[in-house]
Amino acid sequence: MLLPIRYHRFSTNALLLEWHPARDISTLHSITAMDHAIQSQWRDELIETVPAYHSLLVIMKSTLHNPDRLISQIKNLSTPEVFLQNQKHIIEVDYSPRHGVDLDYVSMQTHFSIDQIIQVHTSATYIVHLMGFLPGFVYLSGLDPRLHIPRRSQPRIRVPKGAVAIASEQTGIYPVESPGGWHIIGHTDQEFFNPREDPPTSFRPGDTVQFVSIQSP
Amino acid sequence: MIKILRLGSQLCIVDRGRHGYRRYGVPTGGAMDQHSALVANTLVGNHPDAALLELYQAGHRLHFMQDATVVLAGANADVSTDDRPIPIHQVFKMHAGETLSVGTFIQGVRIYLAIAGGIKTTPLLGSRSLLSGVSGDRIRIGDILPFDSVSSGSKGHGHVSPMPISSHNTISATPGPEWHRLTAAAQRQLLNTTYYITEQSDRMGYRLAGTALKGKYPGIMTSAVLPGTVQLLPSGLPIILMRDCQTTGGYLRILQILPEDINQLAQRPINGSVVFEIQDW
Repeated sequence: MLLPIRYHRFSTNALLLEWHPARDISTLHSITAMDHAIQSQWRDELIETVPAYHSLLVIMKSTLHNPDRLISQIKNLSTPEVFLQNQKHIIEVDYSPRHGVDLDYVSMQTHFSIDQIIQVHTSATYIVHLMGFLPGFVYLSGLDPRLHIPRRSQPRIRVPKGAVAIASEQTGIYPVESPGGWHIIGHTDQEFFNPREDPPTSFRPGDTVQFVSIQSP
Repeated sequence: MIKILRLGSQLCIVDRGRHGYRRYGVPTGGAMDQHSALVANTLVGNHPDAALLELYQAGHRLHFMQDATVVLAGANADVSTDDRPIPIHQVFKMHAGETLSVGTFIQGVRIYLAIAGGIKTTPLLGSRSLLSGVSGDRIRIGDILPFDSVSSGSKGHGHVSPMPISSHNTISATPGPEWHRLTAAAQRQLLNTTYYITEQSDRMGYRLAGTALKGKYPGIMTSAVLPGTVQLLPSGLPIILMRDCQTTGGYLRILQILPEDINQLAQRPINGSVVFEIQDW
């Protein structure tokens, strides 16, 4: 299915393709199909492409002297349906309060018990839309609306590596230690980013994520 | 090898950065002033991809444990060995046992020190640039940095003219994807305001101080950003993303700074001023 795209010249050598703002699967499919088509068409001219929820940044090696021509070439690309690989990632999370330091706060805000929060968080299947913010950080859709609470007004200076967190309609895992404003509800020991491997993470847009509750020793 | 005897504010190993990994959330990184880094590499005959040192502000002392052919580019500062001053843009020899010291800065804030052969730390994802979350993000006193001992690089990488560090505060930019979400009055105000680079500025971004734009500036759905993207914070103040910036963001992208002016910004000090000038394509 073809969705309408807005084109914006982003920099001397980059073009931004923007779909209607949505975090839905048809937009994800449309972007992924376009991403594949552009990467195969301009393999040697590209530095890279950066997909997001509703956009694709196309970064070329040299200055875009004729962006209008590039835009019309993109419009004429055939973008066959791409079958997303749909790798499923099972992520084991220790939701005990010593890791899930914001569970009490989330419980207060949602009127759920901690067990119910865990039950709701682990029963959904999440979809990977993009990576950004930190090396290997995945943006997931699918968080139960009953767990939507605004991010912290004061971000933490230090969120530990492996923290599983929620904020507004999002949930995610901190792949490295970093500052952060999300509510921490658990911890995983799994590694999601290894700069010694290329590509450095096994996540791809379209993959699914399932959290499972485990008790750490 | 070089041993770090003393550190100023920041010393980084840099190169042209990581390309091809923004889709995995990996910032490009690399030399803040890409042009001066290229000038330094070319002068010692290095490949443009060679790794070199970025010395931010005064106070660094580097002990050479082997002979090296070296050059400085970028900022103009008092740099000397034990017995002689070192001029910028002139290739010189460091002998084993000599120490190089970086003193007062006269113009600019970042010096690029290239060694013929290049710094030979282990590359990660195609780059030796230090970056938080990918490699170690800082060099410490006592660290030893390996380099290839060659009397001179292979030459033949051409000549690149040094970039004069601008004495004007004007920074040129093109409209960002959300520029047209600002009212005409807000656009005018943004272009007529003199901003100052605050102390909350680093290789990821420069936070600016000045008169905040009035109005509400809610964010956008997370989308790509690049070094040189100017975002408008909900407070109505802009932030300029620099080389180590994250790959995506949720603030309005109001301007995109031209590549040569990102290099100029890299040489601008804390409290330095910035006036944006817009250019249409």
